[in-house]
Amino acid sequence: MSGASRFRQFVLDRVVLDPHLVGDLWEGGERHGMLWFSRQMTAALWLAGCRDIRIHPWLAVRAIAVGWLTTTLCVWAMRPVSRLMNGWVLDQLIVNLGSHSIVMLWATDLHSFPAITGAGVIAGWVVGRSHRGHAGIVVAVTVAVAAWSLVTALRAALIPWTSMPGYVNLPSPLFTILSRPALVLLFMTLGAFAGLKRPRLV
Amino acid sequence: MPRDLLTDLELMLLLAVLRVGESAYGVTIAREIEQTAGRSISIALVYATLDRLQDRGLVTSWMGDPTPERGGRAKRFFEVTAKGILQIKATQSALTALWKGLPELKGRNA
Repeated sequence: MSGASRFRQFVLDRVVLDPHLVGDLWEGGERHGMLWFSRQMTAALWLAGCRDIRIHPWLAVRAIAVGWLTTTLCVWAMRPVSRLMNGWVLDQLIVNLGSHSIVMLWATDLHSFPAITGAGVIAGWVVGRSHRGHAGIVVAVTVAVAAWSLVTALRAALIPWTSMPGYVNLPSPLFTILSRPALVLLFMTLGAFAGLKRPRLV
Repeated sequence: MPRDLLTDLELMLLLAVLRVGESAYGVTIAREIEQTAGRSISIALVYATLDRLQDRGLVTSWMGDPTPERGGRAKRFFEVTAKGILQIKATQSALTALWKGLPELKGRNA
């Protein structure tokens, strides 16, 4: 089995769509390649999400609540990690690198990345596992949590500029605004894919 | 009495199902629309729209046999019903009536 076929198998094993649609995507993917498959898969997930939300609105609300709650709990549980990154690790960086731009980037953004990625993976897995029959809803939750993360990132991006006016080497607020939602989206999707995996029928 | 006309996508799908004939399933319908009408369409949208048309009684569908080249999944074939043919004709008449008498469109094969 080629790498592309393995990737298709990986995705289709985790996403619950109508079997005839899965068969068509498999057949077309063999003929047209990865770009075609990715486009078709995105459209299929989007339509499945819209259909699921229309048919099961309360399930969608519950899934978003589960995603938001799990993310919040995970971020809270990972506070010791963030404290370590923003305390001892930051001190070591300051001692060794002074006011290098990477130190400022660490102080404003990078120290929170381990907690964000960990929380994203766990929240994605929980949402995926608890909604295995509704891949579209899981995608909607991931997008909703990433949007929420974008709002908090907008707020976080302003803090260094208001609390540390005149400091040199401050990273661009655009990095904060874009990196956090992107990390949430990426790692929550990975967690969701792990959680969506169904037991193989023999 | 107002008639329930087809949208452009519904009309295209019904015509594609008629053109493809017995082997009309997701892949072949999408390919027919792409090759004949030059419009790229996702297979998921083909099924979503045909599901809606089936609810209105304009198409019927049945499952074929599972095949290994599709990872052991069956094809879902479609056929336009008599009611579907009537709906296509009604939409065609409405469009033709709108077409007639427009000097801007005279002599053009739009």
